[in-house]
Amino acid sequence: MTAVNEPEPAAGAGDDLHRRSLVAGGLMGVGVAGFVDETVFHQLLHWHHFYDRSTPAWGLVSDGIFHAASWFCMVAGLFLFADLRRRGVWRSAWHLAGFCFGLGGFQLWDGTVHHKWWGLHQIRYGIDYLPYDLTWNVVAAAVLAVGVVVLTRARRPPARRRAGS
Amino acid sequence: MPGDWPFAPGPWLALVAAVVAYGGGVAKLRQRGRAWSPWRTLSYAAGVTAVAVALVSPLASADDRLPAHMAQHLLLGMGAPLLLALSAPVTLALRTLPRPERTVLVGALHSRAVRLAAHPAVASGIFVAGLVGLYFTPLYGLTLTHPVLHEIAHVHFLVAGCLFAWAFVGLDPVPRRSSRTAQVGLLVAALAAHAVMGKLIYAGYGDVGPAAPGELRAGAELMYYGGDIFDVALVAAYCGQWYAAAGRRLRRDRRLAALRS
Repeated sequence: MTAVNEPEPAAGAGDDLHRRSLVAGGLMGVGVAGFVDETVFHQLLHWHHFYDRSTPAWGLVSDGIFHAASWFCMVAGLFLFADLRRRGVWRSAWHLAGFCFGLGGFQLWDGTVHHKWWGLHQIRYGIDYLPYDLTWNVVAAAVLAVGVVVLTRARRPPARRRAGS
Repeated sequence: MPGDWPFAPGPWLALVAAVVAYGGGVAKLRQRGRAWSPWRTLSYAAGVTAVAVALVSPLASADDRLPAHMAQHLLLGMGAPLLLALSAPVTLALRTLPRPERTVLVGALHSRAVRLAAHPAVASGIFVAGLVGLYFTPLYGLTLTHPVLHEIAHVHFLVAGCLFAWAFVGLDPVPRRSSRTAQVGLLVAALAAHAVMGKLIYAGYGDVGPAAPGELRAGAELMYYGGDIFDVALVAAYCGQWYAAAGRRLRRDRRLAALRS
């Protein structure tokens, strides 16, 4: 975030400036993933438990850091987005790609490392875990793939993009 | 007994003094025809109200129960400090105190003790260590039986919370000597520690006196989710300050660019 106090680059500046839209999108993606996890799965569906007896203490720490960090990411992403808009340098495609990376990355980390490897908690209790785990991680991977596609298209130079379409 | 208004002359006196001091400062500025943002005054009023609800309302009479204690914890240690930090009372004092008192205040602000305590790493350390000490040692149980310890715990919440809030936000001139990356890391770590402690208390790893299981869980959940509200408000204040500062730099750069062309 410290990079923002540089003077504005001239129009048509390279990837460096666009990367800020990617970062803003990424922060908001992580924030939304954390928020959805907390409200939908914990509080509305009550699929996740507030605390799982089998959770090791260090797993609780990891969970807490992700929880606090996702709130921070959401708020920081919104302010970074507002700053880019204010400067007129916000790029929607880069933002969308970053958002997909943040959302998909968080969900994949939660679904593989938190749920399965470390066994922090399950998605839902008292059911066959496999379909839930598969859906969770396949959705996460699909969101990441969308991010890759969007970013690849956005990185194409404008001339080729026009010729290609 | 819950529902009763407590007899608490000490907190009442402190609250009245706090209102008179800030109100007097604002009145003095107005007399001189100088502006003072009404938002700051409003923030101060809300902060003092949060302290009042925690210490001199029926909530205080019920604070031998864990959920009521946790509500006090959130108000004194988190809500009130953030609101007070945003009301810039030190700035107000620097502008309105007579010269001798102002010199004393400036000296205190530059003293090694204040500079150390206001450092984000030290302030968040005090904030987290206080919570560990209270909820994971027999200390909390002792505060239920020793009235003096009980009052000290309240004062500690407010002081540690204010140090924490002032270290990260606030319009007052506090020396901040750490990089933004370090600040963000410390902020997230302290808020994460608060959330983790909430879950550990819920799981029964804490030492929170003779609370019934239902009360224990209700108290811990209040600590966790109430802490979330504070997280978002504190982070928004922190990022909002960055946004405002970046906006000032942007306007300055644009003015310079316009002058050059």
